[in-house]
Amino acid sequence: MEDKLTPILQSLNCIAFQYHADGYFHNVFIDSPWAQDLVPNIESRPYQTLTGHSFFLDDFIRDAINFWQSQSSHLNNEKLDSGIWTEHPENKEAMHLSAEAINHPDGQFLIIRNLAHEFNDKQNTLQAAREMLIANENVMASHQYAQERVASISHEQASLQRIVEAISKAVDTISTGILIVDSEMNCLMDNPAIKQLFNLSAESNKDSILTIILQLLEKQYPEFNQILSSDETWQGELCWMLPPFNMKWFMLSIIPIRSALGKLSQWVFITSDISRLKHLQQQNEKLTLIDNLTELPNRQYFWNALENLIAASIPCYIVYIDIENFKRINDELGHSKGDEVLTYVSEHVRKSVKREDVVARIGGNEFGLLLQGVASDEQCKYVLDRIGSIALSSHFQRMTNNLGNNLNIGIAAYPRDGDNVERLLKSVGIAVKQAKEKLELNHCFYNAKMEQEALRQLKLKQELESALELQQFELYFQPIYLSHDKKISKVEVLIRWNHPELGLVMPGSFIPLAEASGLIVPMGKWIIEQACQALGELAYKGYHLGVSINLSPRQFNDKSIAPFIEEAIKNFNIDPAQIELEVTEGLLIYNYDAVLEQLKTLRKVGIKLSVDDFGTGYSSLSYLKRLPIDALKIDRSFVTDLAVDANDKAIVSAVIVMAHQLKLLVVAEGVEEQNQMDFLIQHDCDFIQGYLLCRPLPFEKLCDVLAQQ
Amino acid sequence: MNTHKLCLIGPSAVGKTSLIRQFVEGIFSEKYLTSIGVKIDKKQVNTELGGVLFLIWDIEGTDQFCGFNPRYLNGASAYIVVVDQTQPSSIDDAIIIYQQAIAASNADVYLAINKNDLTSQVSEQQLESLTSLKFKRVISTSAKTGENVANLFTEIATSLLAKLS
Repeated sequence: MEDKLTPILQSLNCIAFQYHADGYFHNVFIDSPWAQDLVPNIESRPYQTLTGHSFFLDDFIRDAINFWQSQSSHLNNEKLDSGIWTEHPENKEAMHLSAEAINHPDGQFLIIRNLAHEFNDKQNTLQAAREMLIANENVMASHQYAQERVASISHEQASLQRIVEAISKAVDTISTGILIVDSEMNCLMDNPAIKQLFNLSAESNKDSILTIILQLLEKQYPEFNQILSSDETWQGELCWMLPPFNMKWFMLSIIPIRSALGKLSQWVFITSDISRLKHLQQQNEKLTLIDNLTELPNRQYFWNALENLIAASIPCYIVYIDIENFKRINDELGHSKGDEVLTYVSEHVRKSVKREDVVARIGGNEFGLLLQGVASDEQCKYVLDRIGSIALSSHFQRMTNNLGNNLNIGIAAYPRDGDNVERLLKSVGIAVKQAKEKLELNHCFYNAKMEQEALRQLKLKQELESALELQQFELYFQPIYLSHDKKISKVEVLIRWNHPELGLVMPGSFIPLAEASGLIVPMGKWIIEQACQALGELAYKGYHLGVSINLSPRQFNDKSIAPFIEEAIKNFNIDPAQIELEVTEGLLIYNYDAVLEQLKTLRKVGIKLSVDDFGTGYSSLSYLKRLPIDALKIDRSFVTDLAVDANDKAIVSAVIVMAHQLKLLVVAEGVEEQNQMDFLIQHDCDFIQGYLLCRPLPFEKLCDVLAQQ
Repeated sequence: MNTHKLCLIGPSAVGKTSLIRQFVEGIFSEKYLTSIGVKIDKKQVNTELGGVLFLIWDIEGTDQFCGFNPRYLNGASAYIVVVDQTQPSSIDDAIIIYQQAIAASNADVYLAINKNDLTSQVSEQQLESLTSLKFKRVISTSAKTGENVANLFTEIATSLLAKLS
């Protein structure tokens, strides 16, 4: 038996000893050429301490003895691993070793292995992987730096000319490529680095770089026009082939810059060379078609796979999955948690489909699926339900800290919804956008109506951008009455859009568009200015009212809002206490510290603050009391059924009582029937607002109502 | 001669091996060669209080490929947490490593902010969050120019001898 074991142990390139409780080891197997280098005279001493030859081994033997003597190692048959260490015997080559202390029913053993081959493999792999990490960090740091500089300059500078000048000055010496174009894609400026990236001379025409980038985008991102029309910051990778042998990879960020009126004025293209990073990724056995984090195929692979299916005329379903609110996971829980969520979702999706289906990571928080052999939409829904169930799982909710993350899923079918890659990706993109907007469904199948609606929305969005400039907005004022004497105490300002073709457009149709595009910020400032002007005029006419102004989440997070209000108050010479800002409950319940800080800043201006749509979020009154607010507005959904729904009655009366105990005033909105008002007055609601008493009115009509009062 | 175990720990690619090579052999190489596992070097340091023989443990950097093994700190008289001022992420990683290390060892902890020959990419706030931890000494080093490298080891030796006396 011993004869048979010897060649096996030799091939394992190890030596072995048995431990005796007195601190000595008995040689079990020492027939390896390097044993002598580690422990000199090993053969002449069959029974020895093994110490005094290697500092590392001395340390490990001390730990191993403690391990063998501990109770837990006896119970669990555990092993203690030293990890790799390097010994450099005099005049000999370095040895890379690892030791294991083993607790076995037959005794306690120390095995030392020589890892000559494994060490080299490990060294090569980790060398490439770590070089990749360093390269990645360097590229990301300079790309991020350029992006932050551009963002801060575009916020600081008032005029477009100055923005271009300031960016030009700031980026002239940095190694990241910058190109600025106007909204019509005419080149305004570039920096020397971008010419170097595209191997062009300093004298070359800057339009040629733009042409290259746009051509690459068009070919590699079929949905690119849709990206541009979304007016949002975009980031992706581009592959540039230079015949005959060269290939470069770029990271590209495209950032929209807006005028003070919120209209898109320029695009900034920020480009970094990531070819070395890609090369290192390949070296590290990660093909360029594989996403490193999830180990799923990437968007390039996904695109190729779809192209192959189309070429072979194989019907399939194309599915896009988007993790809703993913940015909040990264922002609030950290990027490592974000990575954990992506890995978890990718594993779940992978398990929810057949082995031959393609699952790819096609964007930061987006996955793409190609499902084959699915006969109908109904059958497809079964797969989607399996995938969608993840968002309901308690593990996912715990992992995402209950931030309300969901999966939005869009689906298109080949050949039904398109016969080429570009068309199909456009269709599925529209479907996923629809899924994001429709809260009640987590998945949407593409249909032509959706596309028409998307086009209509796009047109509306473009028209909305000019509406402020063309003075098409108008403020309406809905009186809010004191419940005890039915006198108008304040008015809520509501925006209307006098559209040249559609007539009067209600805010529900355009505020979400304005919020998504960022136009809400200049629009909100216009509302504040107009409301202050109206208050000034009312005061001149002898009416001293308060005014409630809605503040959207984007406006609320805008640091310039408090100084802007302060200035408007000064300009129109009004009392700050006449202004009440309404923020929604949903906005307040996340990110307590930031919300508190902004509320305190606004409060310092002297204005009042109230919570709109109270009861629709998940906040408690005691939580709200810790915030500096003055009033609650009970959501209209509770008021609507007040006459018939016992639960709503109980909720509304309880909210009024508790709010009063916390010294908060209560406004009921959406009051349309007498019995609703009777109930509210009976339960001491402080203010009433609704069609029953008065509809929103243009300014002149409001003055008439006030005159009659 | 007093012999002391001294460990260098920290994120990967911050220059731990380069600091040791600079100190032990007076050599610096621009080429990055990642360390695997542990390698121990010996170097004697002479101070006004006497001589110390350091057994310097060069421990593989901690990152997503290699976790921190606190067992390596057993028996150490002191250890140095090394960060790279051109890699902002190394600061955050070092804070985590520091916390794991102090939970495992009571030895004196030193902080070496390495690569001071290059422009720092670390914000003051980020640096403050690291330097406010309980380091016996924070020192800015360059393995390339050798700035403060010998000083750091001499200071550790002096402190250990002062403790003994």
